[in-house]
Amino acid sequence: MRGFFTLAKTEFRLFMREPAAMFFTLVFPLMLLFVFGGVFGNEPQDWMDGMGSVDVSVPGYMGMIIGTTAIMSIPIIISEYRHKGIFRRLRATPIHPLAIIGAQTLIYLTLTALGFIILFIAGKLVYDLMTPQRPLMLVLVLLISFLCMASLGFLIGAYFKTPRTASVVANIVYFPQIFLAGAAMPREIFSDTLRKWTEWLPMTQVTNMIKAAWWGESLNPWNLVYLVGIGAVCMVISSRIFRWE
Amino acid sequence: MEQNIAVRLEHVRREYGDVVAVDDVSLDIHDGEIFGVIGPNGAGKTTLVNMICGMVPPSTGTVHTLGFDPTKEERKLREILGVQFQEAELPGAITVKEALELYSSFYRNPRNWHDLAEEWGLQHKLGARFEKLSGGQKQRLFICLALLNKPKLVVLDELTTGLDPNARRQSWEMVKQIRDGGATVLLVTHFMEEAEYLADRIALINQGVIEAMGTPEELTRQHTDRRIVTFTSPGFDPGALAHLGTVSTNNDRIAVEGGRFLMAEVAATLRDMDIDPVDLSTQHTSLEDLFISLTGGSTMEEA
Repeated sequence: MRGFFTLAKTEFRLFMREPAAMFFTLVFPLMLLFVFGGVFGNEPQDWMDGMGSVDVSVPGYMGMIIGTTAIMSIPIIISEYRHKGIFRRLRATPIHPLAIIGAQTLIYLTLTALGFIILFIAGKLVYDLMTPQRPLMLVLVLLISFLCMASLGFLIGAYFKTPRTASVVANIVYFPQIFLAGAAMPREIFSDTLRKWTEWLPMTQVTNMIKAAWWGESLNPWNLVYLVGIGAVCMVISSRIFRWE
Repeated sequence: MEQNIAVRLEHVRREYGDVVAVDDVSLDIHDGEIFGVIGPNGAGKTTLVNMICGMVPPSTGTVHTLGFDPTKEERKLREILGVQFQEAELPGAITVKEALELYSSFYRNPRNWHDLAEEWGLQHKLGARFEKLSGGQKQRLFICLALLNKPKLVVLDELTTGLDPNARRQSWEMVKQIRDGGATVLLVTHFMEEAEYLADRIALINQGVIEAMGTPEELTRQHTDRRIVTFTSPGFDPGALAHLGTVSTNNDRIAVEGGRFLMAEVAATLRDMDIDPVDLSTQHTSLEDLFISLTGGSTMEEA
C-alpha cells in the first residue's frame, strides 16, 4: 500500500484544481436543487404520493453525480494520463499497477460521496428533503452504481486513444442519459413510448434503484442484474484492452 | 551474473505485429559507466529502454537488469532503477513539491527530497506547478524524480531533446554528476555530439540492429578509416575512378569515398589522365559522419 494514499491524496488535490470538473460534481447539482426547488418548492403533493418536488428530484440528481464522476471524469483522466505518459512514468516506480487504478477509483468514489453529502445536507436544510427510507440499501445501491458506471468510464478511457475522442464519447454517453434516464428530469413526464425506449439505458437502472431505496419501495432485481452485467462486461473488456501507454 | 555488469542483453528481439523494433541485440553495460545508445528516431531505442526497464518483455532473448529479470521481478528492479522517459509528463497542475513527495512515497528508502531539490537548483520552485516550469526545469525535476531512490542504474531517454543549447550543456554536466555519484547511466540520444561527449561506450543502433559499438575512440579508429577525396573538374568521367571507391558527382564537383591511401591513388590516376585539379583535397570522417552514413536513410526521412 506504500504510495497508494499519497497518490490518492495528490490526485484529489489535482482534481480540486480543475474548476470545471469540480463545478459539475459538487456545485451543479446544488444549482439544480435551488433552481427547481425555488420554482416548485417541496410541498407534499397528493399526485406524487405525498412527496414534494424536491423529494422526487434529488434521487435523480444523485444519479447525475455518479454520471459526472464515472462517465465524464474517469474516461478523460484515463486517456489523458495515458496520452501524456503520466501512467508510463508511474509504472517505472515500484507502485503496484492496481494501486494506480485503485487510487483513481477511490478519489472519484470519494468525490461522488462528497457530492451526495453536500446535496443531501443542502436539500435537508433548505427544503426539508425526505430522509431515505432504506438508508443502508441506498448506500449499497449508490456504491454498486458508482462501480458499474465507473467501469463503463474506464472502458471509454481505455478504448479511445486520445483524450479528445475519449471526452467526446464521454459527452455522448453522458448527456442523453442525464436527460433520458431520470437523472436531471423525471421519466414520469415522458410519453409511454419514450419511457419504454429509455428503459434500457444504464443510468435508468441507477436512478430507478436510488429512488426505490430512497422512497422505501422494493428494488426491481432486473435493474440490479442488468446494471451489474453491464459493469462486469465493461470491466472485463477494459482490463483486456487497457494499455498503460 | 558477474558483479560488474549492470545490464546484459543476449540476442534480444522484440516484434510489434509484423514490425521488428529490435533485432538480435546483445550488449553489456558495465557498472559505473555512461553507456550511450544512439540512433535516429524509430531505430528501436525506446523499445530497448522499455525492455531494460521491464515495461515490455522481449519477444525472444534474455534481458538482465541489475541482476533481475525485468519483466518478472519488475517491482524489485524498480526499487533500484531511476528513469527519465522521453514523452512522459506529470499532471500539469502538480507542484514540484507534490511531485517529489509523491514519488518519494513509492520507495522503501528514498533520499531526502529537500536535499535533492537543492542540489538540482529547484529549491525556489517547490511551489510552482509543473506546467509553469521551463523545459530545463522540467528536466531537472525529472532527474530528481529519477534519483529519489538512490538508483544503481539511471536511464535517461532523450534527456536534452527540445532543450536550447545552453540548457543542453547544463544537462550534460548533470549527467556526469550522476555518474560521479556512483550510478550507472544509460543515455539514449539521437545527438552524436552528446554521446561522444558523455558516453564511456556507445552503441549505434539503426532499424533495430546494433551497427557499431565501442568507446568513442574505438569507433573513431574502426570506422573512420574512410577517406573522402574531392576535386573539381568539368566534364570528368566518374567511371575513371570507380575502381578506387564510391564516386559521386555534384555539377563539376567529384567526390570519391574510399579507404586508406585514397588520396595518393586518386592523385596518381589523375596524373595518368593528365588532370591536375587545384582544389584536390581529402578529409576523413568523424563520428558524426559515421552516424549519418550508418543511419543516413532514416535521418534524411526525419529531416
